[in-house]
Amino acid sequence: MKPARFRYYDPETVEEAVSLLVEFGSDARVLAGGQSLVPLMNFRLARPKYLVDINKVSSLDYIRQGDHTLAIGAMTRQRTVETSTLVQEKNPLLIEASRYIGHPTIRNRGTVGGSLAHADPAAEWPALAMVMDATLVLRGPQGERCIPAEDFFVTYLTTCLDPSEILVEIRIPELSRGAGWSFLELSRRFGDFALVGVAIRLTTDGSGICTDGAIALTGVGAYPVRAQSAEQLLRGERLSEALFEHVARAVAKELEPDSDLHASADYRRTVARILTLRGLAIAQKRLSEAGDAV
Amino acid sequence: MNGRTIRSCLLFAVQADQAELTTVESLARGEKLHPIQQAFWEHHALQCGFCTPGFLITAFAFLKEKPRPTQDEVRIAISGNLCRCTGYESIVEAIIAASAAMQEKGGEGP
Repeated sequence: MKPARFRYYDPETVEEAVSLLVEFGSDARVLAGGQSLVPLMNFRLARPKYLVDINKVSSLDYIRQGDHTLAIGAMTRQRTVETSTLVQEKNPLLIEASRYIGHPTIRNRGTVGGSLAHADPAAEWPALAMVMDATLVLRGPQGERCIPAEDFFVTYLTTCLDPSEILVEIRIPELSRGAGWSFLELSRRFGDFALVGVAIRLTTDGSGICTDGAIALTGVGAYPVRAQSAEQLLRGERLSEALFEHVARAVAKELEPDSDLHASADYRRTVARILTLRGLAIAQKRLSEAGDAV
Repeated sequence: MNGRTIRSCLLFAVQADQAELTTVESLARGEKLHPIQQAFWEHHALQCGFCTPGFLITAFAFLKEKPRPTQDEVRIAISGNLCRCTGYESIVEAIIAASAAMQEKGGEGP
């Protein structure tokens, strides 16, 4: 199938793009990498009257180091993040997760901002934003506003972006020195949409007691979630296999996934539990590796 | 497009304005096959040929980035291309063989 008829615009600045969105409102869609939107248009599940292509807005393609954060422009290609030495140094969790996003060819065009703004319930970047407590920077006719990740995702394919706003940047904290981390995902075939994905980060004090932990899941509902009750079980405890089993079971209990064509709710809960268990072990191993390096 | 593989089905023609496009037709030099094409031929890495342009361009771009890949790296790199005929083994072999041939010749391409 081919898309329904639309008018095409290719602004070169954010300001131009925003004024187009103000003019067309919800009849317009922003085109970034197009790796999610264009298939929807080809299937005619999305029929925007106006397409605002922001690929010429070169000012949104960057990865900058901030104060213990990485500022990533919304039009940064996923492949750029995946191969960035700065990201490898400051937050390798982002790179590990990137490898699960579709295939290399998809990542050549797909953008970080596009994945976040599209908010597919099984996407990887929303889970990364949640696990790292990222801040999303939105720009509209009234100027800029900064939204924490936990407030950004509203429901399926829906964020708090106003129709006249564009996501311009994501600010992601660096992984703490000595932190452990992991990203695991189960899909039917390599590169397919996640059935369940789990992002984890952990820190401990010098004696192996967990000082902080975050577990974010994708594919388990309308939007990515942090397993907050399960995270509480980690803090202040000595890491052990028994603790991880307890936490993994708590994660599964906390979830209310959908049943759909691809997997039942029960199956997703089971996969979430197992990936959490494996992910915690991998994160712990990375902790001791980091410790040894110091 | 501009040196990176892209899905042509997910790009509107107007978006390729001013871009440099490389297609499978550019691999051979007249009658002389590119080492990757040669390797596909020698290793029976195609039957109906429907998937072959995609695999050739994917391999071409991949070997530029990674001239001496392992089998696993090849499998991951081509994971976005589907073949209904060959079962992939011969495709992986062909790409590995091409990488060796290209190393010897010091790299070749359009």
